[in-house]
Amino acid sequence: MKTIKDILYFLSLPLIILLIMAFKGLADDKKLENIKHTNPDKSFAVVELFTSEGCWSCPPADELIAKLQKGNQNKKLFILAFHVDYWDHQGWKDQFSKSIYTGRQKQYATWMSLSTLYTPQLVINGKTEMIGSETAKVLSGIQSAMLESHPENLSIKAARTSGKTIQVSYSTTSTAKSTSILVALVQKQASSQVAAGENAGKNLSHVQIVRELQQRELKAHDSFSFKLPENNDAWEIIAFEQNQKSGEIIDAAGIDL
Amino acid sequence: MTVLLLFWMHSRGQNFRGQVTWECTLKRKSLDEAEILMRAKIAPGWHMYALGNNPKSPIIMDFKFQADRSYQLLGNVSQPVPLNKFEKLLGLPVTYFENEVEFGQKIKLKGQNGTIRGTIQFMQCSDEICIPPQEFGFALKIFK
Repeated sequence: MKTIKDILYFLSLPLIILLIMAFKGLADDKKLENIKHTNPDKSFAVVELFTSEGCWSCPPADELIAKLQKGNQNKKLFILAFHVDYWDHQGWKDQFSKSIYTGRQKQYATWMSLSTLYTPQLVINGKTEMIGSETAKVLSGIQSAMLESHPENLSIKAARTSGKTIQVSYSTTSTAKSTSILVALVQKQASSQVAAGENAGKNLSHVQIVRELQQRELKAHDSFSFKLPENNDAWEIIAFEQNQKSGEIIDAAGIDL
Repeated sequence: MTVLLLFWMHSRGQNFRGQVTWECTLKRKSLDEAEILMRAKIAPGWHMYALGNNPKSPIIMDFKFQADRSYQLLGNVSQPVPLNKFEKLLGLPVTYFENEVEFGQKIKLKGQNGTIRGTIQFMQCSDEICIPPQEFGFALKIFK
């Protein structure tokens, strides 16, 4: 009898820990489902992930946004992956990286008074930031953003004018001051080859890669033109209004090309 | 109470404490030989990459010394035996240090006053994140 009691005591703590972990896993899955479900009452969430092909702490964050994107029905969930360029050097370059994306991350560091840049960093609606691989935090953050309420006045149209040129026009009834309109050309999926090491020749896959970002002062309406890089992949245009003093994103719209 | 305190500290994690700090000194060995000692202190939970990692990876670690008439480099920068692990994403083994590490660069003194100006480029990561490559510059005076 005494030994059974001892065994139970011994197993109880690991069992409790296992149950908590399983519960957490289930809770995260539920949040994921909730976020990807269509719901006209929910507000938008603009999710920006600063990542890089060369950042080996980034895969869990890349996987999380891939999970968010896959089978997503929520038309107000906007995911943008910006590939930073500070891991690039002579022996290594992320083919999707651009210095203006690093510039954007630096801008967030200023707006949010952060002491350093880092990857993977995830920003929601230009207001909250966190480590991109912290699943529970990311999902809660997105859910909170979706519960806020915003006047949603932005609408966009996109048309292919010739071969690879896309014309994007927007209109808004927003009267916000100190606000910019940003329009991103997003490649929904891409893969790149690993150049060296044991995985040489293997493919790394990425989602929601920002290939071009244009920014202007917000007007009642305006039009932008983009050139599609050479390939046949699926594309998306994501536009959002961002306050240039605080970094807060106040409206967003998207359209599949 | 302690549990609450722990949670609060964790959520403030975005103001990262734990930058690598450097201390550089010149150790005189004889009349015409010395060694530049560069010691790094790495915060717990972080690691810094060693010399000799694959140049085809994003890892950067290097030492640059500005030429000066007061000294001449003898050989390459030396380092203790690093830790190593296999990075799955890179498909490469990587070498790194934790806690504390001292690098050395032997020099020959040319019998003149001068200054050694060095720049160290290094990278640090925790289990979850990586900070962009950083640079540390130092200057050491040589008196003949």
